[in-house]
Amino acid sequence: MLFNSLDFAIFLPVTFVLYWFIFQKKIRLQNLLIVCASYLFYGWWDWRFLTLIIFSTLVDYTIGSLLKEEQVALKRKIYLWISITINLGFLGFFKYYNFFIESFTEAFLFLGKEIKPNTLNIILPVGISFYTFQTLSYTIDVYKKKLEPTTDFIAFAAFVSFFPQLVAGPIERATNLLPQFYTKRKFDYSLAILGLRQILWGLFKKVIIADNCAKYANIIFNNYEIYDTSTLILGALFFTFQIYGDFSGYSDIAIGTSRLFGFNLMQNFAFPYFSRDIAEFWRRWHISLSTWFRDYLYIPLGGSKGGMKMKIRNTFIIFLVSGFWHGANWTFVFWGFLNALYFLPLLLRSKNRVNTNIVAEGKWLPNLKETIQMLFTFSLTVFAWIFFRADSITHAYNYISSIFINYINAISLSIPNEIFYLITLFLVIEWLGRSSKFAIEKLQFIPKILRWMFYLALILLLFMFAGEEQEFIYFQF
Amino acid sequence: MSSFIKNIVLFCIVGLFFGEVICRLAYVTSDIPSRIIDSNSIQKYNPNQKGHWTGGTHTWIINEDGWPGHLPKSKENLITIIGDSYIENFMNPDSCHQSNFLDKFSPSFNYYEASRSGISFIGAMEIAASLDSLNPIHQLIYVHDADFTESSSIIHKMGDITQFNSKTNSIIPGKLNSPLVKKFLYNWKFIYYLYINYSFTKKENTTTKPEVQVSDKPKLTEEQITELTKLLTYSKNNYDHKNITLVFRPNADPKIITILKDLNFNMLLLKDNKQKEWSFKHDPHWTCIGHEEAAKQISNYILNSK
Repeated sequence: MLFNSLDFAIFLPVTFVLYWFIFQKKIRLQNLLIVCASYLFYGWWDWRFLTLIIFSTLVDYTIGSLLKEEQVALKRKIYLWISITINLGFLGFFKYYNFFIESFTEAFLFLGKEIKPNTLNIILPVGISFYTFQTLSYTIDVYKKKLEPTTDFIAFAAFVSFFPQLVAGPIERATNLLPQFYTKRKFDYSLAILGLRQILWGLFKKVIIADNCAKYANIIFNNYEIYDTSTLILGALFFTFQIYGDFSGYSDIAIGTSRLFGFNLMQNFAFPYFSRDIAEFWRRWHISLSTWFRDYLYIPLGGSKGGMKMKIRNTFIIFLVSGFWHGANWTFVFWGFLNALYFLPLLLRSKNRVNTNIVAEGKWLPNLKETIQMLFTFSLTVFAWIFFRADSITHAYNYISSIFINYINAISLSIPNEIFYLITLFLVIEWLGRSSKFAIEKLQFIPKILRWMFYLALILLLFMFAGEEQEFIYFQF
Repeated sequence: MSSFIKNIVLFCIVGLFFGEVICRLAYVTSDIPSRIIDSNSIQKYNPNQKGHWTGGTHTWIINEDGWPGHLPKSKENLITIIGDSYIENFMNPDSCHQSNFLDKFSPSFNYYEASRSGISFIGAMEIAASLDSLNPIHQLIYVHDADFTESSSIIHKMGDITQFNSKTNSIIPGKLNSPLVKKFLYNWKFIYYLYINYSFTKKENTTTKPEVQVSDKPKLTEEQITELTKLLTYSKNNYDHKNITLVFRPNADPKIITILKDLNFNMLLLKDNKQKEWSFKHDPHWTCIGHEEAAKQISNYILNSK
């Protein structure tokens, strides 16, 4: 079920009413409703893959219980690795099987030996990368004794399948989300209003910014040979806004929806395009994944404790794995590698934690230095997104080459002015709200009538300028 | 919770009002005329209506007889023009009606239009029979392939249009589908806008019957051809075809044409001029150019058959 669909527009209020009016008396009933609603939400796409979620839930619940009982270190380690193997095994099979087979074939062909392997027609289950990491966080935290294993299976099933963030995050840590299923939820007016506001802003990002940019980004990337330099640069810019609007829009809707049900999820995006360096960008982009890798990969690998060499090695590992997590394609790996390269100078000069505050905090506009830093970081990001969007490394290479070659004898794409006005409006609102969790979080300080007019204006824009309905990009990851 | 619900309800009411104002000011949906069924069981429009086409570019009118467009100045030397949404022609200004163009090319006649979107071939024949009282010298029925298959309740049963049942050898008059719901929907512009843009069903132009293009059209089966033959034989035996000409839009199905030829129907097959685009880009209906081009060919036909 897509957040920007009529199905969800019916599903959400029905679930909300059942949750707060019918099942509100007992917390277990509310959790059970969340499980049922989440399975319906997921099964709407393909009910067959519900078995994967249920299986993952059973495995990790059982492993958690076993870890609680077991005190022998070796056996505890074995239990942990069983969970890791099963979870990553599913992920590996569904997401990477064909990629590895094809890559091996190409490698053998490169060495002069042709092999004919069997590839499978595998459908990638939506959100598998997200819920796999979420359940893994539970087992690892229980193993590390950071979290008491749950004895409430319904609460655990609700934690694994919680529908707002099931298919595209934020990837919640068990230590943050699971305890929220144990405590009685009381309807909180201000939290619910904040949730609705965040949903509205998320829809604006997705339906207006991402879907409209997607249309032109797709045209330009698919026909890059015929377009001129300026159009190709615009294509990369459109994809830059598309991916941000799409993914952060999804996160906003997910967080907002959770708030309607009395849950607090972690912030996933913090205005990353206003970053002054790449390190800041990565502290602001897909925060739930970056911190997951930090906590469960970077730190266990030794983090930054073992000197510069280890720091560099671990940084590259994190970025490459992060790239690979996004999809079974070398383009994602290269995108990760490129970001590691961007990161390297900051790391070598120990400048990766310089910009930890909000840019131009308390001011209307940034100073010249900040502006140049932001533009430079943004340009690096746009360049890297070309690899992320391209179908293959060759496609990305040709696209970039065309930017330098196609300044003559090429055509430019006619793009309606409205799209530029909408992006400008979006950037202005994001800039004004950059010190909040999301751009329009702090609207309660303006008079109610103005606030409502603003909401109505946003809704009007949603109707007037809705792009063609597109699936969320991150569903494929 | 109560203040939350109260605020949500209030916001929805304000939103609906705001949406309605915007929809009406910007004419985001076309006005839809209300329908009636007359004493001859013919579905037509309530007389004397007026409304805007999407975007407010022009208005349409329903005349005092309940048909779109203006009535002729005189009913002498009368030619009737019967058809579906193409002839109804809400999407074009008043000056682009077939009667206007035919009047321009063959001014010696008077033209009377009787059209309604979604009409079937047999429905058009019923209208033609009901217009006999006007003593027309000629009746032009504008048709296309789907109008024939939709005329047979055996091929495709449709409750809202007039059909022929070959088993009982009788006509089944069309009924008005959910008239109250439609009245509500068409008058509440914002809800109607949401309905046509975000309903579960595939988006389609509700003012007009979607027409099947030749290239996308499934081939007629033997059973369908048999049913069509029964339909057309019934038509030939039960209606006066002497003054009737079936005007086919370009690219008609040759199989249907063959059956009609075998049964000696008068026909005019329009040919589209490849140099000029007859239809809108995202709508198969004719533009003013399409109407003018069609009228030229029909005018020649009328003058030649005089």
